[in-house]
Amino acid sequence: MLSENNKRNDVTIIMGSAPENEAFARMTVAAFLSRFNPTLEEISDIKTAVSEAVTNSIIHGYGGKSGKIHIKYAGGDEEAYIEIKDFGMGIENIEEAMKPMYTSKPELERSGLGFAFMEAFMDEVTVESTPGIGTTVRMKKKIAKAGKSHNPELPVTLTDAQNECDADSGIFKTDEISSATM
Amino acid sequence: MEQDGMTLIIRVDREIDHFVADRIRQEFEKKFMRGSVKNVIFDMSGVEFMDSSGIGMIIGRYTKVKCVGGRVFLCAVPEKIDMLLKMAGVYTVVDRYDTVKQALDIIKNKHDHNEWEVY
Repeated sequence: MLSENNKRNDVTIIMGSAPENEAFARMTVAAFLSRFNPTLEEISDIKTAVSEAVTNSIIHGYGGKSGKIHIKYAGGDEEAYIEIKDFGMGIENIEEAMKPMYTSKPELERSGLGFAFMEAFMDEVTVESTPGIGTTVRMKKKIAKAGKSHNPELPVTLTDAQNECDADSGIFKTDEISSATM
Repeated sequence: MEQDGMTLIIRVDREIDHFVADRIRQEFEKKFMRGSVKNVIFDMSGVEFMDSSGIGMIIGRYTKVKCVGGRVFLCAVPEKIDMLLKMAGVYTVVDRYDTVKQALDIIKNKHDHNEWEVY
């Protein structure tokens, strides 16, 4: 579960179930995660997982009809936490739904790989669903420097920089270094 | 999308998600229903993101053109997208080529070969 600190940095986005909002959801997760200095690969993995979960809510949860999707992001302790919740039709048999290649909508050319991709790209995926009430997908993934957001590490320390300046003033200018720490 | 004989060349957007996959599917259907498409070449060179909706759309095009004896070609696939396609087993039914020209050449040669067989 989220620690007290993660509860404070969380962000929740409520968006409508229009397919064109999927790209927006992916952009928001990338924006939220940027504070933790994740690798490009980690961002890409998490964007894929978010895209899958949001698509499921749009296609399966709401069956293409109008509804709201709540997307919550939090991070800390070198971990990203993502929750995607809809208030749609829910899933009767979660185990079956999560089987790779299983799809309840083959007529829509669904590949049945949504949950498989979520599981492949995230470290932990849990699904909670009640028919007629809705579905919540919770996902976690370890990311490079999560939790160090308020102490960004500079490639050089000020002392190192000062020494460099003493040795060769052409390399570093002290005012540049201090403005970088602001 | 551009057409070269009975081959439809689809230059795919930067991101293939459910929304984009649906758009490609609709445009394809319009041309396919007119009977003007046999083969499909996807130029994947510009793709930076794809999820399982993209996989479904590609496999869907394969099942459609298979019925008319056509093939699907994936060209210039970026590494990250290649990994997804491998994971999903797409290459068991769809061929991958480095360039669109290579795929066009294969189609052309096959076409010539078939004509030769007929005569």
